[in-house]
Amino acid sequence: MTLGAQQELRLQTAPRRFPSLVVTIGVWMALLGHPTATVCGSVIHERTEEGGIQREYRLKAAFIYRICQYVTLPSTNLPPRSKTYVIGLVGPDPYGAALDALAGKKSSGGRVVQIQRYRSARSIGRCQVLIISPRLSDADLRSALKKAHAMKALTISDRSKFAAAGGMIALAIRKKKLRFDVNLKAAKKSGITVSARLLRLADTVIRAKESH
Amino acid sequence: MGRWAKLGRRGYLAALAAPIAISSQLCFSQQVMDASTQDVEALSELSLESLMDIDVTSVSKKKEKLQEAPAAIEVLTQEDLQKSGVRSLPEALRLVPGVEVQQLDRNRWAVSIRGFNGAFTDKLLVLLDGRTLYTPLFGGTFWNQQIVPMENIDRIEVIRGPGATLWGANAVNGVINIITKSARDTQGGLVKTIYGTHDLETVLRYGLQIGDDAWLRVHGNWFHRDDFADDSGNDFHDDWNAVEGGARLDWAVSDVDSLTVIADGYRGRAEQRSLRSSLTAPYAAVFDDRIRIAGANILARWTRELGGDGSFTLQAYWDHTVRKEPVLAHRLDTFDVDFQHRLQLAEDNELIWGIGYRLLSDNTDGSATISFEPAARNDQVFSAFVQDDLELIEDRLHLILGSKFEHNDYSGFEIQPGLRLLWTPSAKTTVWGAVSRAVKVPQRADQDLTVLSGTTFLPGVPPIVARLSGTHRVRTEELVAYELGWRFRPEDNLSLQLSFFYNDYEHLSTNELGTPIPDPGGALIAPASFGNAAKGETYGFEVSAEWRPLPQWTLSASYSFLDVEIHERGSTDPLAEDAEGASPHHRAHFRSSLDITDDLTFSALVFWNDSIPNRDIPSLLRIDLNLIWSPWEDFTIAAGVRNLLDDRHPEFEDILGRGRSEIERSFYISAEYRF
Repeated sequence: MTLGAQQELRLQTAPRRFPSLVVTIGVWMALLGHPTATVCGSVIHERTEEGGIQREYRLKAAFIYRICQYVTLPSTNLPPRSKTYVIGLVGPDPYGAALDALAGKKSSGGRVVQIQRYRSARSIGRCQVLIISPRLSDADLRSALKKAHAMKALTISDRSKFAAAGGMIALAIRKKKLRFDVNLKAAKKSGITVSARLLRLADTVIRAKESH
Repeated sequence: MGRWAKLGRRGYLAALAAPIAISSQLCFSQQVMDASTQDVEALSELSLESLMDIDVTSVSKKKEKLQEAPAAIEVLTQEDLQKSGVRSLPEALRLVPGVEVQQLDRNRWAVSIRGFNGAFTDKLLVLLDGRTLYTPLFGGTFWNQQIVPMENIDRIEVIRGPGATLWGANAVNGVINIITKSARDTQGGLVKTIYGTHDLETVLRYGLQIGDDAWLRVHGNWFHRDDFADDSGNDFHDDWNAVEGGARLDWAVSDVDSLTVIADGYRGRAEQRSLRSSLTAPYAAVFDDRIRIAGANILARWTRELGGDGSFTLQAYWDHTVRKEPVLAHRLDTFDVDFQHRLQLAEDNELIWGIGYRLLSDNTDGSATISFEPAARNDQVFSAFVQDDLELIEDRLHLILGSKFEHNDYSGFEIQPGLRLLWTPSAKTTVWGAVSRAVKVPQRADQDLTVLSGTTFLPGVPPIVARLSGTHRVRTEELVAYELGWRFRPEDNLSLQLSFFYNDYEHLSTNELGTPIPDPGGALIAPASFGNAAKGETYGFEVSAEWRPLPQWTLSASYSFLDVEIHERGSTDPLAEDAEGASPHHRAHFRSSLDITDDLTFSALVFWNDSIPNRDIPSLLRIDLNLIWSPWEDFTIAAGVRNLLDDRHPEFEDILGRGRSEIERSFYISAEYRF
């Protein structure tokens, strides 16, 4: 290749940035004019209702259902006359149909279990039990825990270090078995009573310092 | 060839394959309960104790096992990528402790682990979702041909040290394994634009559920990365443009079967300065080349969970790449099929084995400057591996023994055995040691290349044009690596990792000079051919730590030391010992990421490396800052600066003498909307 050909090459490269910029602006304009742009932040997101039946999460869903029967929530969250018991899940849903299978079952006080899904911490609504997705971001985890504390809901998750992060019931698979830790300190802060039987079965119980 | 192999329960890349299938094992407790057939309805009638008695193993379990991996492994997550604002794979690798990343120009990087860094690093295995990214042309990776939107990456796993026992040839100094997110984890829409002094990029993505157990994602991505400058501030003509698109299907076919199909295509252009020698006047000239890149690939992977804690995976892919440089066009089709089977022989004995076949079919169109003979070639690689994990003392001591067997058309039969010992004295401490053999087999260039690689002008003599040729006498480069590692996690929010290595190389590649031949065009040809007249040792250590002093604050830091000693053995190559000064001795990095509020994150990245004497690079300190703000739930904006400290600086230089591009300070803003 000669130097002349090289100059020719340079000429061909002249308008580089312009077309991509036009396309980029076009995409954003099309998007912001699109109806989905206005309905952001809906409470329950359709697409997270995934139907995948996974064995591990069937077990976890059943386990969560059983755990709820050994936990007493404060009446501010669960008035005696309420008819429903809402189990909410925040973040990407690994449970799918396994969680939906709990809907309609009876909770300890004869209430009917309802399942709610929240896309992110901001859209969390009133619930008695809040399951936190293992795939929720750390920042969202903190605001989810804050929200749960504000409404005195029980928090459960199978994400790692959940109890250390301030969650109440941390599920984990240890030696191929389903195990859990209880952060009693966090539960007490929200006025939640955990039965002695549940505490006996827990691998670790984080207790408040006996200061008074 | 098991390069994508799941190493099983205690394996170092355990959770590699098909993250979609969160598998649990059916099993037998006192009540002989089969969790796979019991529905939630039935399970929820059982007592807590009974539920706790059901056996379950899962992918998340394997992930936790990374902490107990018998290798120097680091994992970079999506969150790390997001917070650091990186936009390309090599820039992401810069965040990984112990990985040498030096940017050559706007679209080229020298990436290596434990030495031998250069524009044509050939001792590293790079995989994207189980597909090999290195080119068989020279055994390295064309980074400007690897286009992956950062938003799609789930994690990047990096093993320092040989991974050849399972991964095979080329996994000499390390393995980089890039894993994209399951379609299941990327539901809904995403649009993101990055605009900056050197960047314009848009990513579009949409994921939807199709049927009860299948998820689909499509994405598109285009970018323009603007030129850097040379040392006097003029454009270096090294910009980079590409359009890329792809789709991924993740389908849980049944409780035990999962299928993943990934397809991808791209087209782009990278500008590159090149120095071309010729046998006629002017004998050498610098050109601003435009490289055309294009490619398409499709991969399918089927995983089945078997009873008794076993599984098998069958994977096949086809990959088509085109690279057109003015002096060389290369088309390559790779067809690869691998099978791998993991089984529990006994409670304390896990076996994993696999077989693989790869067909590489290429076609080159050379020029007077560079050519391949034969121009087209079909090569086959047959491989098999077996690895056994023996639990010598329950929960305390593991012995992992294995070997890779491979036959290729360049060096014939290769064996790469490895032995690893894993000791976990407590849940918080892991100690491991390994001895392994790895090889870098000759590549296409080693045998078939002819290139006019440089011109020397001396007063009083004709111009001397170096002509480097491949030869069939080239041998395999061999490594025996000795490693020792320690991992300590005293608290949930603090982890430390330390690894030592001593690498012993034989038959390292050299360029052997021949007798100069006068050419009718007036030049003097200095012929050279590839040889193996050097040996060497490298040794060093890497230490890294991650600490979370507050839940919203993460700090990570690393330091690595490396010494390279090369000994030529009767070589005529003046650069035989070049690698001694081509990597810095000391390298450190520090990263802080602080969530100031729930909606505002600030991250700072600091990179430091010692001087690189043979590349004339002084010690280098680089700082990148990023601020990420989510004013509304679905909308995130970010701003950042890269290379805060100076206007521009060089990070590396390839030895081809084409001048160097300097890494400029750059600013960017980005907007991301999810729907």
